[in-house]
Amino acid sequence: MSRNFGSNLGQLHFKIVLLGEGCVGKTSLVLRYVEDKFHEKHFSTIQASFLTKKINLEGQRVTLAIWDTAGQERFHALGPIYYRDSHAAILVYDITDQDSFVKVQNWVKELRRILGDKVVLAIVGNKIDLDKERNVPAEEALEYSKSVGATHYQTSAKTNRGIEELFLDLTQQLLRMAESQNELNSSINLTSNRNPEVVIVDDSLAPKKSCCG
Amino acid sequence: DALRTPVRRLIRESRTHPITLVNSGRFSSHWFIILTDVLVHVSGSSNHVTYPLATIWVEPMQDSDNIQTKNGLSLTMPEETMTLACPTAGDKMEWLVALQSAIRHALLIDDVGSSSSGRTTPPLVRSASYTFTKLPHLKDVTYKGAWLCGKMHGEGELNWPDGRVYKGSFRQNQQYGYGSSESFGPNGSTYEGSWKDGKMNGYGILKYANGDVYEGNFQDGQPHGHGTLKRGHFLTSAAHVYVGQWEAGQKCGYGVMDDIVTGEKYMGMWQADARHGQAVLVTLDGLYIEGSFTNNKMTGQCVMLLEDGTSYEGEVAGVGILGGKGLLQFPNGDIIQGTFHGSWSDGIKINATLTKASLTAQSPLSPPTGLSIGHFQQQNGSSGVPAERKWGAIFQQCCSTLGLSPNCTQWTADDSLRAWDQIAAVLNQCKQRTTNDHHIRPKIQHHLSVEIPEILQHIPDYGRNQLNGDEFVKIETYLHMALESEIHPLGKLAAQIGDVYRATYVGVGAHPRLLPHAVSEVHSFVSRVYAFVRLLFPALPEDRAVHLIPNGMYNKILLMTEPSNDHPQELQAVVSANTLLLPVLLPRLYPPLYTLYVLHNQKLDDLYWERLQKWNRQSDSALMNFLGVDPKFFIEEVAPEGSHFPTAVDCLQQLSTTFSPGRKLQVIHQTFQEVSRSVQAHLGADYVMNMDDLFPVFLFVVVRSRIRHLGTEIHLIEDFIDKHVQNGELDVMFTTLEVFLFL
Repeated sequence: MSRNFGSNLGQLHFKIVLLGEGCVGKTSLVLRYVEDKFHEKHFSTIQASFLTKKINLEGQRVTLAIWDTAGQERFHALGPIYYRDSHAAILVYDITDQDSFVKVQNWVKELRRILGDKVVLAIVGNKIDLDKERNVPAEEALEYSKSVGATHYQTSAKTNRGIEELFLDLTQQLLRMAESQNELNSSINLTSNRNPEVVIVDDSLAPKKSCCG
Repeated sequence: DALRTPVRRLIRESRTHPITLVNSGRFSSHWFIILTDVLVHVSGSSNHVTYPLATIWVEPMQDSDNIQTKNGLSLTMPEETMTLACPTAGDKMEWLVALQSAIRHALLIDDVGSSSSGRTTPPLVRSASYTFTKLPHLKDVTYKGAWLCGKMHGEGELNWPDGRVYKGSFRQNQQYGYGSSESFGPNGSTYEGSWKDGKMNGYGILKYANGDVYEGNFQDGQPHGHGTLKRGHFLTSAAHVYVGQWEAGQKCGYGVMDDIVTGEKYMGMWQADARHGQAVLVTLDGLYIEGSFTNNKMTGQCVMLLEDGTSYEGEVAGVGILGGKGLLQFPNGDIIQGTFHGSWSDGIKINATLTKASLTAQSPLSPPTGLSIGHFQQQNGSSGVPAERKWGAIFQQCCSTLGLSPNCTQWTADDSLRAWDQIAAVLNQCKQRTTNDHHIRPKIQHHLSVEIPEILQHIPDYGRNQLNGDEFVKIETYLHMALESEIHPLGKLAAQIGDVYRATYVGVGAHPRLLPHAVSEVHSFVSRVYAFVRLLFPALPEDRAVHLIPNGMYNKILLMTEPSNDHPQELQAVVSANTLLLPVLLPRLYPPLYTLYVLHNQKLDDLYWERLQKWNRQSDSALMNFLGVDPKFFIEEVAPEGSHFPTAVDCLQQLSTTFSPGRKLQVIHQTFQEVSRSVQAHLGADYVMNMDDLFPVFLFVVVRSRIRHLGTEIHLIEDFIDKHVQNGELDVMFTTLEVFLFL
């Protein structure tokens, strides 16, 4: 599966993978974002595990395909299969839970190692409605994010704060990346075949397999 | 006097009723006598020639200025023509009537019956027997069958004095159409098939006296185009099967040769009956070789892969014989670089440098065997004959059936119309054969029982200019019928593709290293067949492009779908070469292809299967606990050893019984639907699952559905789905299934 922003319909397609521990509220965060106030909720067959959002930004039609992942630690090793070919990753931690932030840092290392600089990283501190119980200092998180080339956001899925901004900003970053990529290989047809490079990515993942049993 | 027999009666002779031979010598004397069954021509005093009346066509000549042919009669016999002239018009009439009535009599046509119908002239088309005496290539040959004006024409039988027989159709004195021939002696053979201009031309089967059989195309009496030659038996010293291209009786172009004695399989180029050019070879011992041949000998650089993972890349001195500079790599990563001489079975002399992988700084090139293939494998498939250069003759044949020039690839609207006409003609011919099947044609006979489906009997008016959902369904139905049909040109093409694919990848060809070749061959078949399909239905998208049509109105044929942009709830049908053709082509190629996948993924599948067996011994609750399924999904009413998510499990089990990747994806999609349905039935319609919930539940379903070759299924789907499916819901589902292999 090639890493392109492919679409033959004049619109861009971005794959965004959602990473984070089980209780950090990553699902509510996305549900809140794609929730449509004027229509009934219509989910895909697999419900909140996969959500799409279509937006118009800077005159460009964009589809965000948001892939949820299983947050359980035991399934950590399977992450690479989900986040391969993603254009962006949203890493969610709970500001009241230091452990969840450590987990995010682990993810960042892994993503940078495997996907390199091409992936846009968004580190999200969720549950800012519980600021009183905060265990992860905002400055620390911000500084860390900068150091790894990620953008830091603060949200509350419960009170719907910062979520719209998070996705808007992330999409803008993705657009800019797509543009620069486009300039780079303007001569290459975006709808061309699968990138042979992909095979190599898969191979590097293969030895990582482990048994959860 | 020699002609005197009891049944012969004199009917008329030229001494009393004068008639003379035109253009004869001045002093020669000619005497013509009509007897009951023959016309006798006595020239001089003793020489006479007899002509059987049954094979004489007589015609009064138009009166012309030429004095010689005035009142003339023209006689046509199988081997000559004669012009006779009478002194008066009255004599001419008398002779004509006498001849005609004698001929009719000889043909055993009842005079009374036919005179009542007012006919006096004998028919132009007759059935008669005749033995040739003059024509050099037919001397002493007896013909029994239909005639037209002195020529063999229609169904008939030729018998040579040496025992050779031809039974079949004739046109203008030559074998033409369907016929069979048989000859004896050491060079004897039997042939059954198509003829043209007196020679084997078109499709046929030729059996030689020594037991060899050639089945395929002929041109001017020689194998030409695509064909299969089976030589020898399993017990003889030289036995092989060749499937491939021929030129003027010689192997030429791409072909696959199975050497039954040595167990070697050659897949490569040929020239003048010899192996020549790029090739891939596999042997019974599991050796895989890529290289090139010159005049039947393997030379130059090659890549050799052994079953245990050892590989050699370098110069060779023959098949499986190392000879020259090269690089030998062992499964553990150790490398020997230098010069090599010898074969694997007799030992190899080496003058080289050994590099231990474990002791050098450089990281091992290939990951552990089993999961990955190593860097040699990634190269393989690049050498050898490119898939699009294989089996060209089959596609050229289809081109000529459709009335297209084989060298041109840019077909026009005119070509499209011509192709449809040709298809109509082919189907019509078969229909006619069905209606007057008075000849026994074993090879074609089983076609006779095949009814031409209604949909194929009309030239479609859809898919020409535009494509909507309705038209697409029609096209799909048409193609399905056409490719299944044994008489439709596309059906024949599909059948041949199936045959050559089987010939290549069954037996010794079932070699795991051949998988990349087999996969690219399927892709090439799809795109080459699609070229014809697009010629017939120009509204279809170009190869490698996809076209989306709203799927709202039909659910019968659900293809790969993804939400449309404007109506997120509505699914769209995806039209592409793959979605259109794989469902109809793949079933023909499936068994060998699937076997290759199974062999290739054996280690992966075995590991998975072992794990699965172990897990499946647990009860539902134990297994769900183990997989981390949230307790809220446990259904207490289900007995301890009862089953959870039975509908989803049932559904996923269909994965191994469907043939096309599109259908397989659909099965996966339905499985998730069933999971959703079960969960909502249990926890309420408002319950929304996220991946934390869904993932373990789905694992449970996969474990319980016990799919034997999951790795195989997954890789097969992955290799054949269109790339646009990515980033959609199906991609998530597929990935979630794929994850199972990495647990």
